[in-house]
Order: sequence, then structure tokens, then C-alpha cells
Amino acid sequence: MVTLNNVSFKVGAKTILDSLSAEWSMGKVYLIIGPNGAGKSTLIKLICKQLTPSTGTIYFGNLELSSISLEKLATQRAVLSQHSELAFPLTAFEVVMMGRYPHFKNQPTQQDVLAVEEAMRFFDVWPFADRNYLTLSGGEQQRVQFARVLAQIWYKNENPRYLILDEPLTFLDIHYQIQFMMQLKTLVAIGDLMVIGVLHDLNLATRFADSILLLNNGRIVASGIPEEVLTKENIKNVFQLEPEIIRSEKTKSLYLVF
Amino acid sequence: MQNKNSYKKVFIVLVVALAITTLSSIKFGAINISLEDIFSSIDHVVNSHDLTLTERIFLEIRLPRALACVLVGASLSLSGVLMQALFRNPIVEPGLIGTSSGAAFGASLYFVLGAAVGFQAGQWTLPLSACIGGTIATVLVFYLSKNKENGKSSITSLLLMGIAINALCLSGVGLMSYMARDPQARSITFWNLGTLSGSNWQSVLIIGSSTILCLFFALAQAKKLNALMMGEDEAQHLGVDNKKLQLVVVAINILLVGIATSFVGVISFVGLVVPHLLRLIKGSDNRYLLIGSALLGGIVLSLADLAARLLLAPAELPIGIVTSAIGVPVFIYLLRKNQYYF
Repeated sequence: MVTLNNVSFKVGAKTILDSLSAEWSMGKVYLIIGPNGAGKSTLIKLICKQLTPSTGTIYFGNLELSSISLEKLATQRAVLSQHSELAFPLTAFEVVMMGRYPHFKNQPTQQDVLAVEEAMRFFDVWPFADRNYLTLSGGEQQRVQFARVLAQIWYKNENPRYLILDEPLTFLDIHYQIQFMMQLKTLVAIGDLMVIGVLHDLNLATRFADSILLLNNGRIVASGIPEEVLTKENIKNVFQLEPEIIRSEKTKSLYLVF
Repeated sequence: MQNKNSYKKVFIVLVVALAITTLSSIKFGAINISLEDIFSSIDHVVNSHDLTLTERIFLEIRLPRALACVLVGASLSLSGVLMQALFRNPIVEPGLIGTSSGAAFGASLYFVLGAAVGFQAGQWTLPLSACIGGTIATVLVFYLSKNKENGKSSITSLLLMGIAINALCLSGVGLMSYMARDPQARSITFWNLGTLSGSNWQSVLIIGSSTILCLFFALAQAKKLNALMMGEDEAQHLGVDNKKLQLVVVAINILLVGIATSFVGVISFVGLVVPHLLRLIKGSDNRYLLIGSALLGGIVLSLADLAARLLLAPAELPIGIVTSAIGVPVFIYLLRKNQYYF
């Protein structure tokens, strides 16, 4: 479980996030939406421990985030970013193995090697295992990153597992965007995994989120299931555009048409 | 996993090559030493017999020089790997960012003014003053090349600031050489171009202990340095404390370069060429690069020293000329190939 308790973040006199409170439970997908400058990426940075709240507290389970060491955090929380560069050539296998670094000291165990192989097969990048990561296409690189990040939290253990998404689908084809979200749903359904994240595509977020947090000017406008949050009024207030809201015959989820 | 085994193969080849080059660098020189001389001198030392001239050349000059050469090569190459990993750029090396010249200035300052200041720490005084010099120069380069707004050093400003601080430190060395009475310090070519001719068992012992110690400390950071290849954010998500890592790596680096430089002067481009060759052989995993560069660094510098002694025999070239002759083309190649880094 992740809890935000009156979390604010200020830079100088400017308030970026203003007293956010939320309670997120395991086995669900929570997606944050909002216009540019709403504070989405700042919130993600706070949850990733890259920034510290000016006031308020973030809890992972019963522990304050500030009291969990980076090493410990890395064994149960992984972060998937928009784009990851690599300064030197490594094979795709070696890149995915980085995801296991928090779990072993010097040499990877049999279990670590197995996690890498399973994660790579899951995202269909096992055929690239011995290829130089830098020679892969952008989409292939990103799928290798999916495998790396999921390898980091591949096994269930005594601690709950968290996956943070920081607009990871931005540069992918629609086919891979949908496929990834489907695969994510599969993993979450298995249990003890929570996904918190930002997706750039509103309709993708609506379709795959169990719960949506609508953020504007550093405040929570609404949060809950998509049907409650995505009202014409909320969307118009936040995005300055009046949408048509329809329900898809195919996916049974809401769609916003602008 | 096929990678682990292929690394092993590379290491075995390197160990054999290191043995061969070390043996050759012992054998060949102004006076050639035969294998019989080597065995008989060991026999004579063990049984405390008197030594012949050739045996003494082997034991007191050639052997310590060969070992110092291997160790200095290893130190400089390790330092190259560490700096490149930290800056995520293959064109950084200790000679380019002020560490070597700062260390040379620190060491020459001790030679000339040490007695007057009364600063003494036994046989560690020289390496210590070199490390202090290296630290000050490196920190200056880092600090001055930082962008005022985002606090990050671009590789261009790092290299430019390196040129400035190098020039300053080497003029300092020049001034010290001008004032010096000590014959070793008086030779400005010693500091600027490096030579292993002053090696003795004491320097072998000191460089040896620092190299081995630093190799182990560096290997403990290898995984974190790998994670850093994806940038500081991703490394942090994998549990790396970036500030701590930077501090540890810079400290190891200064120890490696400072101590090596205090005994042999500035030897440039070894730290650039060796990691580059290793990357060509088998990728960029830092665990492989660190062990590999400790071995290949010894090989490359032994060969360079052999060339320095044999090309104009019986006269001797400064070794820095040989390493620059090989290193500069590699540097230019890397610069041109990696233009997108700027």
C-alpha cells in the first residue's frame, strides 16, 4: 500500500504540489492524468525518492519513504521511464541483468539469470539477448527496458512490489502500447503488485486504469474509477476543451473525443 | 551464461601475454640478461652468495623496473576505466582532467620545498604530496567546469578546463625544476614525459599496494558503474547513491594516479588506449573492463617501456613520448567517432 499524507512540494515561493493525500492499494493500476505543468512528473519524482516533499509524508506500506534506503527500495520498486540511453555498448542480456543488480552482490545467482530470461521471453525480446543494445531499434530498446524493469521485481517475496510508470509508452507504436498495457494487467492480476504512473495518452489511461487521479495546478481535482473522474465538467475545467465522452463497444471503456 | 566464459578466455590470454612481455622487458635492455642469469641470481640470493654484475642489474634495476612498469600501467588503465564510467564517455582519462599534472606538481613541490616546510611522513611523503596535488587539480577541474545553472559538467568544458589546469600545473612543475637542486626533480622531462628509470623496490612496494587495494575497491563499485551507463536517474532507481559513488570513485582514482605519477611522472593516454582496446575485444561490462585493464595496462606499458629503451639504445626515450605516439591517434579517432557526445 502507498499512502500520501498531505504531501506538498515547493520550489522557493512557488508551490508545485499542494497538500496531496491519497491511499493506493495493492493489485491495482493507478494512473495520474492532468495538463502540462499540473505536477505529474514532480509527483512521480517524489514517489521515486528523487525529490523530498517540502511537507507531508509518503508511506510505502507502514514505512516512511524517507526511512527506506535506496538499496532496499530497489529490491521492491522499479521505475520505467520514457527513454533510457546507454553510454557504452552492452548486450541486451547484460542490460536486462542490471535489473537484478539490487538482488545479488557480485555474481548473479541461478535465480537472477532465470528472472532475466523469463522477463525477456515475456516481452518477446529473448531473441535479441546477445545483440548489442545500441544497435536495436528504438521500439526494441524500449521493450528491452520493459524486461529490465520487470526483472527487477520479477519474483514475489515477503515485500509487496511496486512499478512506477513515467510515460514509458510515448515513443512506441500503438500495437506495442496496447500489448504492454495488456501484459501489465496480466502481471498485476497475479497479485501483490501495484502500478502507479503517468501515461501521455488519456484514452490509454482510461482504458487500463483501475483508478485515475486528475491533477491540475498541483492539486487533486478528482480521483476514483474512470467513470467518476472523467466527467465533462472535470475535463473542461482542467483541459479547457469540452470532450464528447463515449463508451467503446469493443473495450467497454470510456473514450474522450476532443 | 556464455559471456562469463568468454571473459575468462580473454583474461587467460592477457595473463599469458603479461608474463611474456614482463619477461621480455626484464631480458632486453642496454645489457641483455639470460634466463640462466635470472635463475642463478635467485639461487645466489637464497644462499646469500655474492652477486655478479649482471645478476645485480637484474635484481636491482631490471626486475623492479619491470614490476613498477606493470603496476603503473595497471594503475593508469584502471583510472581510465573509472573516469570513463563516471563521466559516461570514452574520451576521459587522468592525463586530460588534471589529475596527473596536479600530482606531478605536488611531487615536484615536495622535492624542492619539502625540506623547507618540514612536512614529513617517511617514505609516504612523496606519494602523499602527489595525491594532494592531484586532488586539488582534479577538484578544481570538476568545480570550474560545472555549468552554473544545472550543476553538470559537459564533456567539452571538462576537457577545456583540463587543458587550462594542466598548463598551470606543468608550468608549476617547470618552475620547480628550475629551482631544484635534486637531480631527479631538476629533469623536467622526467615530470612531463615520464620515465621508469628511477624505479626501485620501495616504489614497487608502494605502487603495488595502492594498485591492488584500488582494484578491489573499484571492483566493489563495478555493478554501480554499470548501472550508471543508463544515466544517474536510472542508476538511482536501481539503488545507487550517486553522490557517494562519485566520491568513492574520484578518491580511488586520485590514489591510483597520484601514487603512480609521484614515481614515474606524467604518462598520458595509457588510460585512454587500454579500455578502448578492451571494449573492442568484448563489450563494456565494468567488471570485465577493470580486471582486463589491470592486465592489459601492464602489457601495454611494458611494451612502451621496452620500445623506449630499445629504439635509441643505449640511450633511452622518455616513455611518455611512446605512449603519446600511440595514444594521440586513438584519442583523435575517439573524438571524431563520438562527435555526437558534444
